[in-house]
Amino acid sequence: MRWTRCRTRQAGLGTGLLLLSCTLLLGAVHQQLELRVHAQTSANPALQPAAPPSSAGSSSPAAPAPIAQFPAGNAVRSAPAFFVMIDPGHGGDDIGARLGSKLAEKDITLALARKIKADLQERGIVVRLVRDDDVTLSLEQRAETINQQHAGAYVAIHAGTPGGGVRVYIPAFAVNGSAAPGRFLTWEHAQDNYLPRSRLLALGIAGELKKKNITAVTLGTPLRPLNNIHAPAIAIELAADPDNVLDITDQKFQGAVATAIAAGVAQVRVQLEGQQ
Amino acid sequence: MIPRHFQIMIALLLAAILVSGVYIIKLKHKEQAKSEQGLEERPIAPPVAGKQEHIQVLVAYDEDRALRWREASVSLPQQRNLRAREVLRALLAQYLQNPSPHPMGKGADIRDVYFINPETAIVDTSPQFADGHPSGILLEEMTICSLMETLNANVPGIAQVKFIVDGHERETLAGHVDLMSFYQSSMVHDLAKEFE
Repeated sequence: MRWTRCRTRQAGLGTGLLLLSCTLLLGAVHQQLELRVHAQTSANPALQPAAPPSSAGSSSPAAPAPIAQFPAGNAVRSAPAFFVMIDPGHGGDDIGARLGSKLAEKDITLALARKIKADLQERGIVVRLVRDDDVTLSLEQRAETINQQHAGAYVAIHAGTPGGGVRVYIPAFAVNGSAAPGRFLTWEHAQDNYLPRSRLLALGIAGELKKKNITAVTLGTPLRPLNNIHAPAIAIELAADPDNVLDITDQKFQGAVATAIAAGVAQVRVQLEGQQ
Repeated sequence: MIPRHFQIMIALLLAAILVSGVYIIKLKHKEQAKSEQGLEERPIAPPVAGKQEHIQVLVAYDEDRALRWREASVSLPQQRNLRAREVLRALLAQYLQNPSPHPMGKGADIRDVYFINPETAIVDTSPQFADGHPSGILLEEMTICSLMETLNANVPGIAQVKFIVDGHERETLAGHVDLMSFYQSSMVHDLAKEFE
């Protein structure tokens, strides 16, 4: 009986020591892992929100479609240091605004996006189009793609009435500095830390548009998905006079707008890159 | 042998059933077509209870891309959510008239306003409000600003608002402006200033 007690005490002590050792070992491993994850999060924007949370929005009628421009697997590794993502709004089943009886917003946005791409390439800036064809993409698919690619800047293209000239939009409800660097961000706050750079980009483009005597106004907007973009993000809207909607299809006008946008991006590129 | 007068009565009854059936089917089709085309006429009549009040509504004017305060006279009930609904309806009434400063689809309406806490309102709109809304960043933004500012001017204490359509969440109003987020009153106030 005494021997048994002694044995039990020893066993208990042994087990206790073993458990203590395991706990200490696990604690050390956990701490190391935590430090590594934190370091990676700080250095690597891939750990910032790339994908949207599941929501009612994901059940939008837009059918999933392949994004022609991106090789899915190695895109991140092969991405250049700085490149611009141009997003021609709408597409496929989603025609966007009807401008007059024949014009659809989705066609105008694609035409302008291609012109901007050509102009940016002439200036030596790498460009990718979110869509280069008439395909349906949901807003969440677009944001997810842009966040995964780690673009240096994002420009969404839209067209609509009323007015004339060009409207340059900055994300309206992002709160600058609300998210500590390296921390996980909620989907709705992905834009928060980029707001000053988004503003810089918008002002640069608006300035270049004015230099070309194109009416340009800068406004805030709750446009989706600007607040979900983890990069400097703005939107451009070609403003059409309801009585003369065909004016925005004018090749000269579109060419001048595209050149001004490219010049605006090129002008602030160094500042955007410096803070990237 | 069935008597002749009885035969006539049965024939008349069958004919009456047939005619009623055809009439009911016609009525049903008519109502269906009406709702599909969004021809549902919004009741402009004041609510049953409530005194007539003069309120300020922020009206969007597409022509000059501006928001301007206008006075409207409506009967407002005491209950906060009903008051909120009637205030927003008074604004929509401005948009549904012909000619309209900011056209909307026929049948655009505020179905209800719910308060999930004293500071948070959920505005439930009719399907026609979103389906018939003209698409465009500026147009959609002006709608949201005018609704939010009108609500805040007449129903104090609302810090945030979410818009839903026919009882469900919707990603955007008409392809552009976000409807998934809660709109903060202070932020929308700053945004609306850009149009004043």
